[in-house]
Amino acid sequence: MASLSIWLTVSFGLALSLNSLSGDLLPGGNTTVFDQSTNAFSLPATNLPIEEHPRFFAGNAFFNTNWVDASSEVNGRDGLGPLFNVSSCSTCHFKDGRGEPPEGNDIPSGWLMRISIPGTNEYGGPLGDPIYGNQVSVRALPGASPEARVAIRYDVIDGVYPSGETFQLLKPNYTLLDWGYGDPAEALLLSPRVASAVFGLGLLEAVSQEDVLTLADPEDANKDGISGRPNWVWSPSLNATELGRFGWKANKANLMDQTAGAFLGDIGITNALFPVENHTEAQGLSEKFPSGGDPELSGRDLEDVVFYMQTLGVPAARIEDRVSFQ
Amino acid sequence: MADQWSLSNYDNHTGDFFLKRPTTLIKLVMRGISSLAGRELAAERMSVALRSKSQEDEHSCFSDTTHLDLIANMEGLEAVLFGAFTPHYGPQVEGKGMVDVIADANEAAAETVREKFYIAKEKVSLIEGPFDQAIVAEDGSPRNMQVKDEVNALWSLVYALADAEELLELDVKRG
Repeated sequence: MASLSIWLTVSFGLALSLNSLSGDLLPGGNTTVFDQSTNAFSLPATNLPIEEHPRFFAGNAFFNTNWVDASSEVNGRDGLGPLFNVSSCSTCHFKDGRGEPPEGNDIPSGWLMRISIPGTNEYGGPLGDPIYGNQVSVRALPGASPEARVAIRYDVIDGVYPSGETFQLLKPNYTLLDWGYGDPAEALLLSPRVASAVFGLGLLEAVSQEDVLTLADPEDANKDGISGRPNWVWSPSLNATELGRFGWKANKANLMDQTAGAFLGDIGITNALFPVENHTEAQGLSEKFPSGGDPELSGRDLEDVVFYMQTLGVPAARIEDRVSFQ
Repeated sequence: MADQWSLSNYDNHTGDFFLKRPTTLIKLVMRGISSLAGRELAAERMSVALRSKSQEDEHSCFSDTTHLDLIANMEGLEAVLFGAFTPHYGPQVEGKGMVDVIADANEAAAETVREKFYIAKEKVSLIEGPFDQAIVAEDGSPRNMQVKDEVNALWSLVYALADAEELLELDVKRG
């Protein structure tokens, strides 16, 4: 892993200097890929050494794997659920791009609801609901109930630009219905999340903590309207409090924590960092549903998916010579 | 179908393909060969199946013809690399292959690609069917090693193609 971060750091630094010399707009520096096909988000960084392609494409395959019920005949990639949002990484991050909220009464596949109750957990993070934890699983294996159903109703807000041109905004209102395991806490807090695109994350991980902290300006002392503040989070992979970087609220310190957490929280796949299934004792599911392995995702498979996350290239903009795009 | 594959139909891959600059075309073909050999065959079809030991990851899990699929894929690569193809109907197709294009730039690089391809072709023929028995075979057992040897041979071919592409100095940035 050390060699990877050096490679990314070197290529990133080099990329920035080349960028300013050539005037080319390379959003990922030397990692930038040039592709306008439907696979533009799914390609290895251009400067990823070819000898690393076997790992990259192994990670790609596991990212696209559809996990199945542990009680099935299938070995090796079983362990889905029993509570889950979707059955593969790529369902939400389709072709490594972003997801979208569900339409009408559809069960979401690219969007999820985080939940919490007032207070903080032992590490200062959000406190999960006593029954449902910190994420609503909208799907479940046969024989179990999904945790809840999501309904979204949009209010249309009409607005006018200073130029006189009109616009409309959609304001979502969320309701969670048909709770499967009793009522959740009364003071339940909701935090909806659309699945993010996953390319270029290795570059973000390679930015030094020092550089991020230099930009912190919690009181907006420079009056630019941005009061960026570091989010210090618990990192299970490093077993320490670290700077948060990933997720909509920067509450994962690195891509290992993010990926391992998503395998458990979104697909119900246990792994070395999160060895316990994503349901609580109150839900009484442990005895009924067998495990697909201990853990269900092998260490090497997890590492390869993380490597894939770290080395997906950033596509160059299709239109870069228009001033309005710069 | 004939219309879909027509060279003068610019709304599809075939027509669009021949509108590209020659350097872009060469790069696309080179990357296509590498993609089938490395990403698809070596990684998705073989490495992943060996690691998961799951029939779900077998190319043709219902017909048990995966080992033959692998051979057929190698025949496809051979046709593009060497410009020769024996169809079931009609005359033998012969012309320039990608190996000839590489040889124009660098004969040694072309020879390496040739050699790596023939090693991979031989190794794939040594994989015994049915493939699902190779997937579940113990790590290090003869059947497991037959597949691993082919995986390594295919990646060696991909590396040789990457070296050759560099020597061609295609200078293609925009796909």
